[in-house]
Amino acid sequence: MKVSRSEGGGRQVELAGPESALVQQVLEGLMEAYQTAPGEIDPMVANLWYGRAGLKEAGIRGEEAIHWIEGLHEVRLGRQTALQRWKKSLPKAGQAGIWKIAEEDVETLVAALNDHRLRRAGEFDLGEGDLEVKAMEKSKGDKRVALVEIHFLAWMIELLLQE
Amino acid sequence: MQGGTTTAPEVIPGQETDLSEAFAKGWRVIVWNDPVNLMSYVVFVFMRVLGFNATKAQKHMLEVHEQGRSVVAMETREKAEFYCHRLQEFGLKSTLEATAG
Repeated sequence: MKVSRSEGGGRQVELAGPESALVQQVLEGLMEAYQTAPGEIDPMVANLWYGRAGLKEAGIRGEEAIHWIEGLHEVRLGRQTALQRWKKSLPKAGQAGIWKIAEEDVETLVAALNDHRLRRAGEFDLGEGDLEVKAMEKSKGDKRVALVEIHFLAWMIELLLQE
Repeated sequence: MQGGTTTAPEVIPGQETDLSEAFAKGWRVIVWNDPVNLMSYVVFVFMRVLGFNATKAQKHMLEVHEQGRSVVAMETREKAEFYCHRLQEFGLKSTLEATAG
């Protein structure tokens, strides 16, 4: 993967075949997860995306707390249009190519990719030790897939922020 | 401004306190450490949401990383809520705390 700044200020992400397939999988996973109501999503993921920690202590209770969580969900639902646009502009699944991201989309893309990292970490209850590269090499099955996604997206986020 | 006699507005008991509380910067916005968010991402969010420059954002990110938490803003209740919510929109663990509490 290579990321460069395009003339208009956006980003050009050069992806290899397996990388574009992975990104497609990530975008589809995010679209589904964003559509899921906070109360119906995996509780570990809900804790990271729609956490209630500290609300009660800050006096945010009842209707106010519901409104707070709904606000967080609305922001994520608002990213759906961009997710669909990015999915359409990706190289065909499994094919190498250039993925163009508009300048005004970079912030939302980075936030969405980070959300996917949080989601996958939540699903497998991953802690600091699990997120080390050595732990990924030793892991197996679905957990390994989640760790590969987490590390790949970390790389992509770093490159997008560097440019 | 019109001339003539003016009368001081009537202060309703209790309202005075409510107003001063609303405008006092008595609320801390705290960001907590977590194992998933990248250091560079946290810096980016601090710059975007809180308007920090790179040096200040880096300082607060390191505080989160090394001390487990950082007070990133001292604000009125309304503004503190706004910042706290925005930080959560970006997936950061943030809470509000009254300075007197």
